[in-house]
Amino acid sequence: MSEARRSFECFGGWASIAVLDPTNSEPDQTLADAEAFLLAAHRRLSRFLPGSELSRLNSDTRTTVPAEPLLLDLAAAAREAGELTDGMVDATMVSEIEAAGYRDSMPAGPRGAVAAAGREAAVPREAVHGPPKEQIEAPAGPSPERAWEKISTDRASKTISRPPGVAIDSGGIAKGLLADQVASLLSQFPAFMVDCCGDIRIGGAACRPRPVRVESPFGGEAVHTLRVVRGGVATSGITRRSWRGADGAPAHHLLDPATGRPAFTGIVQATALAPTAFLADVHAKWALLSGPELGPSLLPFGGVLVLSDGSIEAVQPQAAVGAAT
Amino acid sequence: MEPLGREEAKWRAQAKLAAMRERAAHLRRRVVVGAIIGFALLWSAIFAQMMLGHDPVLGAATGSVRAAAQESFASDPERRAHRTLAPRGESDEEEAGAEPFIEERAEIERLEAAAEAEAEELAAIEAGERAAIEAEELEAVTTGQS
Repeated sequence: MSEARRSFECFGGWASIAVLDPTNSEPDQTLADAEAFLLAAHRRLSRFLPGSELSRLNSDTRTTVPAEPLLLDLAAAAREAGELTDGMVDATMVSEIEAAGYRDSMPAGPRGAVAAAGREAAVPREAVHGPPKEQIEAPAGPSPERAWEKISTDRASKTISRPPGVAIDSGGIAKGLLADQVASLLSQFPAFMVDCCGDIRIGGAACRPRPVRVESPFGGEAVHTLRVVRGGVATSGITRRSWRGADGAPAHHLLDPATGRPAFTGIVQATALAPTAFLADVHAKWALLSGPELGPSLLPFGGVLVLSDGSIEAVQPQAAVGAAT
Repeated sequence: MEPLGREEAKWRAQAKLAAMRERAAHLRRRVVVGAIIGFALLWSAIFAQMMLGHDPVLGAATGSVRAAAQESFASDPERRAHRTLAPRGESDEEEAGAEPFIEERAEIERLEAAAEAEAEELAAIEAGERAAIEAEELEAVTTGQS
């Protein structure tokens, strides 16, 4: 009994959806609907598209702005990520990430500047980054401005309120959120999988395990394989969407909210398991930004950390989520 | 061949898993019971040995009787002479007492070997279960930096 699968370009990478259909009914229409949903969501929530609903919200000078349900979901998710992590996962750092050099959609290539400058080239980190290690590898911290706290949503009136100028970045949270939303469309299938460029939601009443390979941040073989029955899996890292700044120093898209600059915490990639893909995404970023000491404790459902020295740490779950490592 | 219906396939898989679990539980029970019997026999043998007078603590009651008997024996030249003429008498008694112990030990060894064989069989069943679960696995997916 094989799965029906559909893959397509979306969110600057590849998305795929798979369903197991033992009744041999035609799942193609469901997959086509799910693909259409994700492509439309990308058009509506991309901050790189000037006409998107998100771009219009971010540039709107009103305090309260009418919004469609999807945008309301994104705004609520931005607030929730901030609340859950006490501001460590901050989706309001649009101006900072643009200042760091991430202004346009960037395909996630196999290796970015950070990987090339780091382990792969076997160059000492001090030589790559200049400052001593203890200065460059430190846990990130929340922004004192706590702009995410100023976002509020009203589903009855379908409005989003925030001070003008507080912008939302969909890059860090939207893919997991959308994987969860597509999953709700596929719940009638005994097994399904939604992969939004690495943010994955798995489920189905059949409870059949699915191997989830964790990519190496430096390319090559997978660093670990998880077996997931249901729940979300997401990976965040600093080696893919990375570039060199004007000063030649490696930069990437995961910013330290406290400084507004790319975070180098000692973790180069974090994979998290969680009940939903959105939560997995948040936990992965939270663990990465918190560094190797705190990071494992921020993966309560388990996960995998890759440290800057190339070592791999498989974190065992403190709570069950239908997954086994 | 007709493809299995969803319910039938599910029912068959559940029945197969239930049968495997039942077999594993049965083997576990046998291993546990064997271990308990072995344990009890071993301690019975040790207790018997002690009661025969080879333990200074548990054999104290009979020990004092033996001591009194030995005193009587030492003061009776006739018996002492008999003892000298028949030095193998006490040794024969020891050998007679050791026979059940040897049998028990053989029984324990047999049970231990059976338990080991059953443990191996159990491991093979568990490996089979793992293989069955792996066969149930869906197509792999890769998570990477999003």
